Amino acid sequence: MNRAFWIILIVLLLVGLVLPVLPMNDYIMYLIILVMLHSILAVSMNLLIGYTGLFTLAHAAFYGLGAYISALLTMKGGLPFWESLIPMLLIVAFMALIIGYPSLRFTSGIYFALVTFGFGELIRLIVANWYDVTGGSQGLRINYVPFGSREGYYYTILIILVGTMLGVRWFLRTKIGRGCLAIREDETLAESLGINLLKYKLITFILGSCIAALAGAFYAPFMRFINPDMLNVNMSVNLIGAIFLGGIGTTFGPLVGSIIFVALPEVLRVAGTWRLVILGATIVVTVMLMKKGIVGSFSKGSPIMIISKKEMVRGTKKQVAKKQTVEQSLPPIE
Amino acid sequence: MGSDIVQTLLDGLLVGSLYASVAIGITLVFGLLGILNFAHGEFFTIGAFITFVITTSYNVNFLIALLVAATAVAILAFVLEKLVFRFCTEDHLVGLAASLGLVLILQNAIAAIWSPNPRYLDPVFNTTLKVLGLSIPSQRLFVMIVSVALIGMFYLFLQYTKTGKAIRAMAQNREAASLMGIKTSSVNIVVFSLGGVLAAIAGALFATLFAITPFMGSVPLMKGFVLTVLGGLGSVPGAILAGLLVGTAESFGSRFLSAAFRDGYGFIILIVTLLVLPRGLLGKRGRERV
Repeated sequence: MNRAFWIILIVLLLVGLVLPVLPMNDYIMYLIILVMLHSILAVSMNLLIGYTGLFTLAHAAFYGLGAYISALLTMKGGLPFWESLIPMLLIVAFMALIIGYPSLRFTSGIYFALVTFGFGELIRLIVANWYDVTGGSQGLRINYVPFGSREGYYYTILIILVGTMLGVRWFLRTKIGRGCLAIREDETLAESLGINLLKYKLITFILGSCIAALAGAFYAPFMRFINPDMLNVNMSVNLIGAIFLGGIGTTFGPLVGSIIFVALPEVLRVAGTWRLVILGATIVVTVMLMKKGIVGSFSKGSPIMIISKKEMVRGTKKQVAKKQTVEQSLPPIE
Repeated sequence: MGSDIVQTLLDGLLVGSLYASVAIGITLVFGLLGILNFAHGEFFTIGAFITFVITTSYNVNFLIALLVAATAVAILAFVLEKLVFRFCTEDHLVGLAASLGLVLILQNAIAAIWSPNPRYLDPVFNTTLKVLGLSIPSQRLFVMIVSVALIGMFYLFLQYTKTGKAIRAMAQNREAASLMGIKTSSVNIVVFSLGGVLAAIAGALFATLFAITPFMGSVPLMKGFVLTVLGGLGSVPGAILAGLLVGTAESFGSRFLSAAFRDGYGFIILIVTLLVLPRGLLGKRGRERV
């Protein structure tokens, strides 16, 4: 699992690095960047849904917030784009804290999904109705260009995507990350083992929301235009669809799902209005045939195996050794 | 002022009863199968479209068209249960993802067949009733009476018929119900079809007041989810109560506060309620025990 991860990642990275050198038209480049932005969102949402079991529906709202806050700081606050990112992340983290604390404290499961849905839609309605600042439902035209060329843009997004994937992987190996996996498996058991549910969930929620906001901040100058539809709950729902299709709780599942969700409708453009019908049929059939998602069905271990077998064996050996020393130190039972 | 308030209240009840008709299907399907069915909104849309097509191209009475639409949607729901949802019950997420795919299929098939342009259905009644200083468009009154009657009938069905009791028993405990000799697979079909019928009729009624588009189902669907959770998952009286509450809150809020923020009032009620009563208005009380 571990070796497979690095091989796939390096192959993907090499393909990613070489891609812009190949002759291709702007449209394909645009599509690839769109897929990568969608993947960043999906990977961060997978951290919440797939690894921690937090069914958030406010993800698109944070994505849109990131885009709006960064754009407003740059265009009205006069900050350079890159410097707007840090205050933007701080504001988003604070908002995630305000939303996450009561939601995680009082609700869980499907109720948490609906509370975050409510908060997300409230944010969208505020953005859509605050004409003086956000331009309301007319949207906001972005006039700054943080990158000289499309390639520069491409490589930055690629770095963020790979960084997010490695970051999520690293996070899941930390104490908090392992705690999150335990929470997803069994909340009650995790709590009885001394895991602070609220703290761990809140940290993960803020982290995931900040990554979404970062993706949003880069989306804005890429599209040159943002509108409140970005924050729509349908976007969050589509992300869940993409994650599930690719394989929930897998490293590469969100990537595969994003490719299908973003690229397939474009490939099927010849089919006209029917292309989304075909996409829908593909999703239904895939979901019914592969209940663990595409990646989940192909990988041998259970989809939760983020810690490699070797490491688990090492862990068990350590425990066994510890147990033996404890047993040796005990007086023999007569 | 007084008549203004009464009028706003009536408006709220009208919208609320339409929302509740959609929410009942969602809450029952979730309570029985554990599936958050996003395709439920499409039953609403298809109900409206079939009613529209039949009344305009064949010049048939609205009520007959309504019955045809309800039957067609019942058949569609039946087929979907047989083909898809039946195989998606072991995991919440499988059902959810499959229903998302179905939404894409149905929504865009409708858009491809009938074009995405908005359509308008002529109201059945064009008069305005004047009672006690209130002026109520008859069409709105008609829609309200039909939807309230529909919800009332469904409630009685759940309370007093054998099938209704079977549905309630299954919502409480699936295994125990099946041990008592309830054929759970047929009850699932009944619930899907009846939920579809309620949504289709609500859609057809909605179509006599507002525009018909292939994407009209998404707002009632979202409201349906809100009501389902607000009322307590799987609780039909809860969904009805929540529907009327959200409907009135929206109409009062948009009348006296801000109309643009209309959808927000329901969400505020949802958030506040869930933070105080984490299992909804009429859901089970207390924390889950091990």
